[in-house]
Amino acid sequence: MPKPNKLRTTLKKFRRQILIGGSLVVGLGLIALLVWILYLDRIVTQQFEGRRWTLPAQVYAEPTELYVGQTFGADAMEQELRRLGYHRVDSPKNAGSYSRRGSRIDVVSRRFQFPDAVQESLPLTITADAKSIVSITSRGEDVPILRLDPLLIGSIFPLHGEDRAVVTPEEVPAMLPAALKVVEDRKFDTHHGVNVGAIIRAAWVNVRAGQIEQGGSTLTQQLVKSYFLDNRRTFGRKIEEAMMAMLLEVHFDKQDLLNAYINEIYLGQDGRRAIHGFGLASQFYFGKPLAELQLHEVALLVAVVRGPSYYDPRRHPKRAKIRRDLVLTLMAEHKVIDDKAARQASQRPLGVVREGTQTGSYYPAYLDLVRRTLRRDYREEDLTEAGLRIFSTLSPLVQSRAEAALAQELDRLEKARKKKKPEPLEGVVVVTSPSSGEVIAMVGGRQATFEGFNRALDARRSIGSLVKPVIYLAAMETDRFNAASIIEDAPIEVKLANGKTWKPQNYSQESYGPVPLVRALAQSMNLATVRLGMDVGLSKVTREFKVLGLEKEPPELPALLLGSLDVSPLEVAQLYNAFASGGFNTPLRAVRAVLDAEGKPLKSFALEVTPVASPQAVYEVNQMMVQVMERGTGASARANLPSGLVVAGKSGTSSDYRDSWFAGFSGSHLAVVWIGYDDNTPTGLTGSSGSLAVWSRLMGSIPTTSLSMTLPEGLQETSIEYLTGYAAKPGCGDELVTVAVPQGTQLPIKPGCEPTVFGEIGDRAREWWQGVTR
Amino acid sequence: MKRYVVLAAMALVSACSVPQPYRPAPSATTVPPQQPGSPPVMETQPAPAPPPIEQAQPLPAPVIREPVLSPASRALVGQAQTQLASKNFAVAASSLERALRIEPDNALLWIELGKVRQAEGNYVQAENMARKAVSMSSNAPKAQSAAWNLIAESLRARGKNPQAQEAQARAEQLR
Repeated sequence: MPKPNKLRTTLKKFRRQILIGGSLVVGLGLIALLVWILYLDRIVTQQFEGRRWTLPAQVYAEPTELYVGQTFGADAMEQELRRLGYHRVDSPKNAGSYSRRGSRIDVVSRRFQFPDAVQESLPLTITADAKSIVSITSRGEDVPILRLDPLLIGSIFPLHGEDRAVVTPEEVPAMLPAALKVVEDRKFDTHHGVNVGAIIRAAWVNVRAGQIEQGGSTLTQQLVKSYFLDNRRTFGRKIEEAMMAMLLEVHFDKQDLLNAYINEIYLGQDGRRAIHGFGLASQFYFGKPLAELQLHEVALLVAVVRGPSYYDPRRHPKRAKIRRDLVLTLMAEHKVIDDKAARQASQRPLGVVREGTQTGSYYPAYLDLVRRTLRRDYREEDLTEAGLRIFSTLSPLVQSRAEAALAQELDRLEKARKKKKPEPLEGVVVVTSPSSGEVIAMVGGRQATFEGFNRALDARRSIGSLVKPVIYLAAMETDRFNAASIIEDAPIEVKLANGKTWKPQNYSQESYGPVPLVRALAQSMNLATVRLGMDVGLSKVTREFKVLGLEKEPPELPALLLGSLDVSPLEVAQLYNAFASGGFNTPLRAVRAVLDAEGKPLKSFALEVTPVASPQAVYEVNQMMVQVMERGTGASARANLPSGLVVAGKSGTSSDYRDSWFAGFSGSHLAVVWIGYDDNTPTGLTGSSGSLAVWSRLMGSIPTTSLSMTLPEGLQETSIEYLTGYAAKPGCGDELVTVAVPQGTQLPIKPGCEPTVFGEIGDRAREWWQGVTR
Repeated sequence: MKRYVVLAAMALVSACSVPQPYRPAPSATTVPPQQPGSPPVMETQPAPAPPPIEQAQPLPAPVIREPVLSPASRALVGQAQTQLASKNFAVAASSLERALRIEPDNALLWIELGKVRQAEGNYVQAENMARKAVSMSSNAPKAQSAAWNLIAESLRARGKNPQAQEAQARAEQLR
């Protein structure tokens, strides 16, 4: 047996070398391990200490103002509170709760930092009659006006889709950390990042059950996994995770880690938006701040941690409830709560707000507008990471009514269609508050929550007869025309620059002869309008578009007079806003102010107005647009509107019925509606048969006020015959309409209505008549 | 001119020391202050009796309707004046914008906002706000006079003296 001997002797001979080699390998291994640990340590400390989370900019809706006279009846007031996530109790003591006895509502408002001031939490007593608020007092003193905390409508999150609303430890209800520890990690307070016992126990339970019932990960490990690593589940990953967890525990105290966990963990999905952290999850599932959650709600969120999609309380309510009740049982077993509280809480329903209701819903088109507004001043990273707070002008009520009106009418229009098209009919709604220029609602397509092409901003489509009021305004401003001026609606030929001749037609293929301008506009007569526009001059008309707020002056082409002008719905809103605000241009805005993460004001978008047209001319045209709604192409809106509501507007249809438009306004709202196909194929709809229905349904469903303009100096109102334009008066003349004309305007008098009849009608009429004919 | 500035400053200071109740138009050249807490009233004037037909007659005088602030607006204007006194222009403006959202057709609020712009040196917007107020106060001579006053001030601040005098004349004519 020489061989083993030989081996032994060889080994003996090289013992030194083997020892050195072995220790070298071990040493190098140890160094590599050390380097790896140091490397992980660097990642852990740098990322965790530096910026613990990227904070998407938070966007708030317009706050609700409470004041005497505000149009909230008691029911509407209560609805408003519920919408903001206030909950009803017997006697309200904590912020975010209220009680109601008939017309009296007691509420404790929430503290909120507005861009201009902090509104402290206040106990309020509000009384309301059927229609409006009658009194507001706080501790016995009258409160003239107060803002409620605004709805958080979303955030501008980065492309990878993580959205969160970070909370501080003070905003976390005490039950939440306790419940998390009991359910996820009972040794959290004592372990050093990993819990070996728990891992073994979990493995045993899972093997026995044949499925994953327990996870052995500590909260720290879960945090590491969510914060530093991707979703791959390999053994190497597990080791890395455990090591990083231990390193985290070395550097940071338990309170910091727990708070990080609460803000980091993934809790649900909303389309492209991933809901991270309990702060946002609370808004997403319950529509209220985390601090106000009750026991059964906290338990549900803790239940969801284990599998946000498996235990999705909206899609799998039964599963979610079973797990929630398990969480409650565990909490009782470990004396976090008493048995009675657990029993009571498990009797409660899940309490999750419906998706698509105002709370917790999501407005991509509107947020897109906000994002674009801010991109002029901020880098993309500032918006998605720096924790800015953005105060928008969105009215959630008007937004939801606009979404509903569009969806309902598009469904109706498609059902009425004989030939079905595979492609869905699309639509846009933009609503502004004219005097402030604030965009208060924007729907970018039929599926309001679908993100993608934002038609409200990017679909530039031919606006058809929506151009007409601009032409009539240009005409009024020449002082050669007024609402009663007679214009010939008869065939007209226009020589074009290329030598060809343009022969426009009326929609009805007929012509109407001599008509007053008010009727030509109300019935959207093409021939009369082309004649008027050519008489006024194309250059004056194109300039008018620019002056009213269009970014670029349109080319001087006769076809412009019939609306071959491609603009977006938002630009149409800008154009019509100048009419609705009496001839003053106000740049449309969706953002009032921006605060940084510390609450310091960064920027405010102040109200600016610029006079762009003579108030007289605008008044005359607006009065004509009232007639569009009274007896012209907008008349069918009446059925959807409250009786007596005065509105003005104009329909638009592009050639071959490719685009159906309606733009119109009341005293407090301007709305622009577009309907069409994305591929620009004909819809068969006119402005009146398509968009007008959406417009009137919307206007009829929001609290809005009548258009009431002050008659400007130098104008007077008078009656003329709608068909002929003759001056007439009640009792003498057919189908009278009220128009505004410059004082001293001489109007042809309806034969048989001459001043001789004055004696019979009396002094008042004579006086009125002098006013008209002077 | 100097006198106006001094008076305006005095009125401003007095308005700020007592932010509530509201005293409108803290400017020497505008209407006298309203009594605190006076109820909202509409000043109307009956139309004169019809004249005989032969004479060339002026138009019947329009009904005068001076704007009045609601209690909510009054509170906000009071706040704005305090904020203006401490040169907190942005905050003063945002208080007035809140009021304007409630009463967009109230000329007094546009005038107040114009005054904030004037104070911070944004004379063009001061004038524009005042013109907006003029456009909605054709039957409210007091408010209109106050608006023309502000227009005159903003023109003067830009050295446009002849136009300023014209505007001033309109303001005085209305009073």
